[in-house]
Amino acid sequence: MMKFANVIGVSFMAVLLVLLPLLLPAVGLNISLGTTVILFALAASSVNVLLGFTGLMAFGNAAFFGVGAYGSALFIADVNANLILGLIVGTVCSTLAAAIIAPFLIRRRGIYFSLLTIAFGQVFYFIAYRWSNVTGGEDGFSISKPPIFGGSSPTLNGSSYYYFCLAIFAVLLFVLWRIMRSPFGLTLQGIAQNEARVRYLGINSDRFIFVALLLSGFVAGLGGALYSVSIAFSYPLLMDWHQSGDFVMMVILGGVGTIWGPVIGAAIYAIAQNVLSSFTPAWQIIIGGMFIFFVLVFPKGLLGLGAARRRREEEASQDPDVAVVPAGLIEGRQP
Amino acid sequence: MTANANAAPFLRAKDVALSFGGVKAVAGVDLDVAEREIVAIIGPNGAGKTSFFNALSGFFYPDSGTVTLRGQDITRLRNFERIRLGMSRTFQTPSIFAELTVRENIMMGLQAQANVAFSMRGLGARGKELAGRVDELLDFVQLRSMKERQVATLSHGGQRLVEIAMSLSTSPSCVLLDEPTAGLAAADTTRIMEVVRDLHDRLGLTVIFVEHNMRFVSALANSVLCMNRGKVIARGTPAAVLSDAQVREAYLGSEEIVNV
Repeated sequence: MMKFANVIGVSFMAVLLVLLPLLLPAVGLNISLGTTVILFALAASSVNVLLGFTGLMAFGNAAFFGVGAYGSALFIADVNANLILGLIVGTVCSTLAAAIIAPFLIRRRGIYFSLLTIAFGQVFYFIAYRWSNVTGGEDGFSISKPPIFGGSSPTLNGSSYYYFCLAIFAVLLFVLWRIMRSPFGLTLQGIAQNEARVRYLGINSDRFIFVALLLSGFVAGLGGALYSVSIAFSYPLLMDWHQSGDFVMMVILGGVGTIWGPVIGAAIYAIAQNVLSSFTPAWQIIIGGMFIFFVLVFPKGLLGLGAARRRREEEASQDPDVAVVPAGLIEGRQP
Repeated sequence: MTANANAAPFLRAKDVALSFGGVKAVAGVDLDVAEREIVAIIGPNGAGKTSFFNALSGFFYPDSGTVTLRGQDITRLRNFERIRLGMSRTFQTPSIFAELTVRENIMMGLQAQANVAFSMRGLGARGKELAGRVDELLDFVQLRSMKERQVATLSHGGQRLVEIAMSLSTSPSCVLLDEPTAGLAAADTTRIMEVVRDLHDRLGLTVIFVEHNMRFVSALANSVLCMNRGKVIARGTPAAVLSDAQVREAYLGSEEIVNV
């Protein structure tokens, strides 16, 4: 029951992503940039699960990304050079990390939730930074690319690794889309809009937030696990709160609460970073300026702009007795 | 059900008190509600009606006193747990999901009630059953034609009706309505009045409501509780309470009571 415009949009994105390994070299860019876009898009989507679907300002998702990166890289370097097993280990680690901090987060809302996510993120960062005999400390450590199933199975490189990531990414994006349309997703949207009402429908919102955190940790960790293999390297700054902020920025650039928003945001961000940093060391100023511009001009992100226009058109086509009354949003915590 | 539970009133508040800082919003209020009764709570602005409601429904915990439902102490029960015991409520400003459709607003409570809210997949055959329930509830408030509309685009009265349908989605035995007619035009008020009457007459629910419209109160309520400054100043039949000297004094100059 997808709308025609959506079918065109999704087809366009699919064709673009599939052809990217051909397009990037044509404009003088490396295919690894395409892989980075996809993996940052996974991380941004994990932020979107909390920020967009559930309305929770999560500023610590780089920690999940980094735990996934370290988990897979350490496993591949020290235990078994097997890509698939490494990805599983990294993702399990990040989901466990989410499960460990979730109980502390689920009873907090608003700025307190945000501050706690930053604090927990920095805890993981400092562990990676200080525990140098395992993590390589500040410098991190490099790995050699593992065969896909270990042993003498083939090793994925360049465009084959890109397509491997793209396949995983496509499945996850579809799963997230399905979840958003499921009863669980509807309840998350309810929590984002009016949590007090959700609770007055007999729903323990804390439990939904717990599961959303696990889902977010899972998606971010898988992205991180794929990323450390992609760059054959793992280092503490992957977990730093600047990195978390970048992921949030990608979501906001592209469109909060939309499936494709984080993908578009990640693409803008990664490509701008790659292209601009070859011109000037002050590239972050330009990205910062771009971010301010987007927030002021498209407060709902690039995709949010389209959604808002469609909504206005729908409203205009309906009865004239339109009176918009915002829901009685109640901040803070109730019993 | 035990004999003891039969003997206890359906809903009982005993000596409920609630303060905010130094202000005693509710200062020791008792209330007994029988099953299928319609009770109105009236009083001038700031009398503590909504605070009392909040204590009953677990929006805030009272500082002291107890609330029991069918003999079970629910004073410290969390709000969503009370809903599962059959209580539901509306708010002075309709508490809805403004950006979702009417159908989705109703569906959320039905999913929770059917224990499928955690499902991350579609609902299959169960979905049809729940969709049928959505239609039933929307028929009850006569909003079925609005099913796919975004709730934010409905009129204020429409949003109040959606909220009532939502509060029914959890299959309650008792509903608390906080000023169901506040800010409504006369035609909408009449419609809400019919719906509230139906809650009792057709669905057999216990109804407790806070209201300023005295025509509404005297037409519907079996009994009335009048609060002022956090305390009960009169209780009894609508006629008795509305003619009570203290009540008239508390409302002095207030248009509502003059119109009775």
